[in-house]
Amino acid sequence: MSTFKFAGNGTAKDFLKDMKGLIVSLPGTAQSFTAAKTLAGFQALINPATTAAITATFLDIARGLESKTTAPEFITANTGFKEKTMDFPPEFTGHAFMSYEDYKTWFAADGKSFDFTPVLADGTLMCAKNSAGQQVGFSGRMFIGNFDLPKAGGAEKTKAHSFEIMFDDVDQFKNYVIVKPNFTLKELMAIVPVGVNIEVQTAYENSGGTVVIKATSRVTGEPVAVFGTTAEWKVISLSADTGGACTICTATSASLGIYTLTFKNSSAVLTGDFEIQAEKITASHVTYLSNVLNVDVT
Amino acid sequence: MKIGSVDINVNDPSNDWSKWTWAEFMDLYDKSLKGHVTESPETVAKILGVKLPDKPKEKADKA
Repeated sequence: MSTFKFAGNGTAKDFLKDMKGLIVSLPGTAQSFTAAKTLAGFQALINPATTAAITATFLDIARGLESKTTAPEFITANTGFKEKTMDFPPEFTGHAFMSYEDYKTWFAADGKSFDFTPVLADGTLMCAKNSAGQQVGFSGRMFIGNFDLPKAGGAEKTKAHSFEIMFDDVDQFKNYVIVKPNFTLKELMAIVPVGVNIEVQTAYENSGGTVVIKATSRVTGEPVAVFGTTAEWKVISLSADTGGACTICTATSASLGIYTLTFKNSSAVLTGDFEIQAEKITASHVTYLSNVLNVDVT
Repeated sequence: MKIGSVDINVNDPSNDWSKWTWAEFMDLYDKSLKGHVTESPETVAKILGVKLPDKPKEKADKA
């Protein structure tokens, strides 16, 4: 924290704008403050040229937030002397503006650590600074707030997709940096890849290694016809094999969102379950990105 | 590599098409490509660099 000196009073008396969302990044993700002012800086994190390079996304909490931050602790001595003995890092419940299908893709993030950069209504970023003088998010943990049955109507309905965000370090907030970027909140939202659902339509056939996958827009179920090459089908993890990739992509029925894919480890079929994800790269940016799908191998 | 609406992966560093046997390639052709491409197995194999099967040796004409 900088040295305290009387620093004058500004003529305008406005508050910080309300928080509308968070840039959620992998712990330690950093960039220069110059880059953090530009959309290109965040494109390198949110929709870079490959999915492997994605280190951040934007979480829209337009459906509201409830602060849960513990009030500072004050202790009164038996002399009557009162002083502050502890500050607590912020925590809040954020109600995300997303579909239940988007929400489901976050389930695997329950309890994970991330860095969070609050984005305010006017696009202003509330940032922390690392020891190298770079822009980072505030470190914290994310918990999925609702593994419950669908909420009944009314205000509760809008709280169906909640996240509990707990920050780790109050000192980061004592040193927060306000960045006024040269992009708007809407422009930031627009760079997040379009989420697509993929599901197995015909199970992995373990003599030839083919599986039929259907790709659809989330919630509406409209077919998605953009994943016509092997490069657009990534093997994320393998449970039994030493390697594996999409060897052949047949997109004859892509207009229906249906793709017949052959996954092999060189010439051998895969022997254990594996996970895949579909991505579309346009002009060196990830523009479509699916859920991670487990393909059962029996 | 695109053949019509079929894309064959030629950029997977862990898969060397030249190491595929003809039997392995024909198994792939029959199960994944047949009916989707009009090219013959030999044509696709040549494009990918799969070794073509040895032609049966012609018997030497008896003098």
